[in-house]
Amino acid sequence: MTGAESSEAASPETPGVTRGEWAGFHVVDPDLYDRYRDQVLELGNSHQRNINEFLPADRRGRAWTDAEIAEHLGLDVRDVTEIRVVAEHDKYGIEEYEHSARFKDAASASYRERGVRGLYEGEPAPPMRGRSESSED
Amino acid sequence: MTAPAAPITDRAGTELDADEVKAMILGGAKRRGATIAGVADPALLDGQPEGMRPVDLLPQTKTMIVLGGAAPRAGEWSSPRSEVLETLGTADRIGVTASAVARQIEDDLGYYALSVPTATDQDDKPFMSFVDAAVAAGVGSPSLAGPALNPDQGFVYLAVILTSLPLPFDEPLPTPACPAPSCVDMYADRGVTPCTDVCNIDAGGCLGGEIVDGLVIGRKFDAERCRDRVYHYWVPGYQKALEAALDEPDARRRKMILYGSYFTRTMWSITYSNVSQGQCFECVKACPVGSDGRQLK
Repeated sequence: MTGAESSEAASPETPGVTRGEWAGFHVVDPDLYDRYRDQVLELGNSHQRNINEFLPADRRGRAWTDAEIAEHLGLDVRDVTEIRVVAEHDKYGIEEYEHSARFKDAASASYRERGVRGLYEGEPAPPMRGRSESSED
Repeated sequence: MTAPAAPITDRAGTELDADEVKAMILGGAKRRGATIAGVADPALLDGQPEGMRPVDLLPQTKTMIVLGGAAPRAGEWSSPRSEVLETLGTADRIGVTASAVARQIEDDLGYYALSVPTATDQDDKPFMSFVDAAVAAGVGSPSLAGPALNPDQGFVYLAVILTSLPLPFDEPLPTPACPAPSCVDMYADRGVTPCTDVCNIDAGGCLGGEIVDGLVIGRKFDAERCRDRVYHYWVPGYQKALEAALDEPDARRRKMILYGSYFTRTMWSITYSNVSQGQCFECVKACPVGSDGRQLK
């Protein structure tokens, strides 16, 4: 089944309510999301490469727009937008947020103590914010 | 600098000198708090996605004014508490300046002026790329870390005004601010720059890339991880914690989530959203561009 066929399959019969609006506003079908999320993230703005303005034109490349992705995958652009927005929030779990706090503590401390020649490089994992190392044992 | 496309007149129809008008507007912006300012040809952004081009926001646009400023103070950069910068990330101050400039253009000169919203558009994207606008106006250049960097000031917050006022254009910078010479040396020595060292994408961070012939190529950027760090205690974190609370069937455990420190801190950040929109500065803190101005006695 193509993406377009999948979108059609999600269309409600209710007059005046367009496809995908089963929650009263546009929500992407979870199966469609599962099928296309990785492709949409890859084609979208999530993996930015070679965007430097000073690169020669033949080496520069911007991310694809939702409309371009929709055309490429045969999807409705509104579904692509929803897949992208949900996927961008869905890529990392809540554990990443705790990790963020620990990263910032360690990075900030490394810069203060050693400057750019001794920056924190991810290992070892820093202690939990507000907890001593011994309290983690 | 290019000549204006049409003569400028005030509300009474008196013709004004374009360079003097430009100096008046940019000078006024600097007196209101902008530390850098430039004027760009909006046609340089014609290649942007539909909906994000200057004419999509204001069809009468002839000129794009870009302001920069409101960067953290040297003391804030040097604080040992990362939480200090977590609660000072704000584009508000420069946004207020941009609104004042737009009002001045409309009230005093009678031309359309629109301060581009700094909030997100309906599809969770910006209204336009402020980085690309800054590049077009010669206010900054793209960086490996992501923000536009001014060669003298480094990281600054940006604001953009679109207007039908035909001002003379500035040109993009002739050479990029990133990579800095010291970063080129560091890359040659260790294969990393300060920003890709502290937040390396291959070590659980957000950034990567190569430097070849003094240019950044093959940039790698994990936008989702960067967002999770920048908006650590904000909307994305709130959504995660709310999801966890909704999924928790035990009322006592659910209460511990909703009343706990993470959810509470996140709600405070959202409440004070104007000062909490940037919560991670570690890559820029290590950046040498503009760092001289952060060394005080």
